[in-house]
Amino acid sequence: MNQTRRAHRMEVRAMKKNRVGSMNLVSLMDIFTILVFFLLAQSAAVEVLPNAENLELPESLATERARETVLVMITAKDILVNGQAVMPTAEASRADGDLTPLRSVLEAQAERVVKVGDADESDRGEITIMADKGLPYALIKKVMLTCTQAQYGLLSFAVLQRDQNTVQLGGSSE
Amino acid sequence: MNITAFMNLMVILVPFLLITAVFSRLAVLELDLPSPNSEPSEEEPKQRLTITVRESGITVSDRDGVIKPIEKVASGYNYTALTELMVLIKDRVPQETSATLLLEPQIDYDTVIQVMDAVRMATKEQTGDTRDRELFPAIALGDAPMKSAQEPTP
Repeated sequence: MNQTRRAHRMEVRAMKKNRVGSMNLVSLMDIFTILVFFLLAQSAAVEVLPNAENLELPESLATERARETVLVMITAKDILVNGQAVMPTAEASRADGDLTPLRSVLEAQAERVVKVGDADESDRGEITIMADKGLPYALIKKVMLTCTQAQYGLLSFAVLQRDQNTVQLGGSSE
Repeated sequence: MNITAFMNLMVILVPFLLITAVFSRLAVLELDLPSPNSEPSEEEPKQRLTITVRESGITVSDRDGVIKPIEKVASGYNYTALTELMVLIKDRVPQETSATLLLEPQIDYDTVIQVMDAVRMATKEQTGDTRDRELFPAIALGDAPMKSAQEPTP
């Protein structure tokens, strides 16, 4: 009897305690706050290039950050300019010389985005090329040629940055 | 202290930011191309360091002809040897910053980037130095000449 009364008393007390909600949340809030600030800072460092979903970029030691440019993506299936499909890759690798659909899109892009000076000023600006790492150089070259003929002065390749410790492992594996 | 609203905010914000966060860092490799309005000259600029990448291996040459062929090893192209050679050449001509990469059409894009990396810089692990060393960062791309036209000059 005595025992059950005591148990009952303890139960009531525990219920009271729970009602005011004295769960210890301080460390959880600390972690959340730190995490939120870390993630905010990371997303604030502006990622210009979209996440490459259906293409695998090569890795490189390059550290230069991407700038806001016209973006040409070459996946195994399609060639895209700023996310819009322009022509299938198979068609591009069959073509010889420059790629007419790509070129007309690029020329339209430059008039909208960069628009440098008068008509004599032929440099339209920069292009960043994101290409799948399995593609042959012949195809990349055709795209580069088209970009140059569409009067873009500066071409860059987008790459995945890799840290140097893994380089040493990969580089000296032979 | 009423922290329910704060907790709600955190619970929403943390998964949202985790999903949108990009953990792979992207960088760009710049190319050193001739400006589009300049006429392509008939002859190649002679003084340039040229790296020819073929299916069979890499050949490094300059105006005096082939400097050294770098054979493939079991795991593919020998980028380490290429970088070592580039360091030697850079020691000889420290003011030179440009190189030309000539490639056969069927070479992988990945190989192009790896060769460019090997020519652009040497990491501190490779040089044994305290800093990374810049070698030939201005790289132009071109087509490799036909095999027969590319005999080593005596």
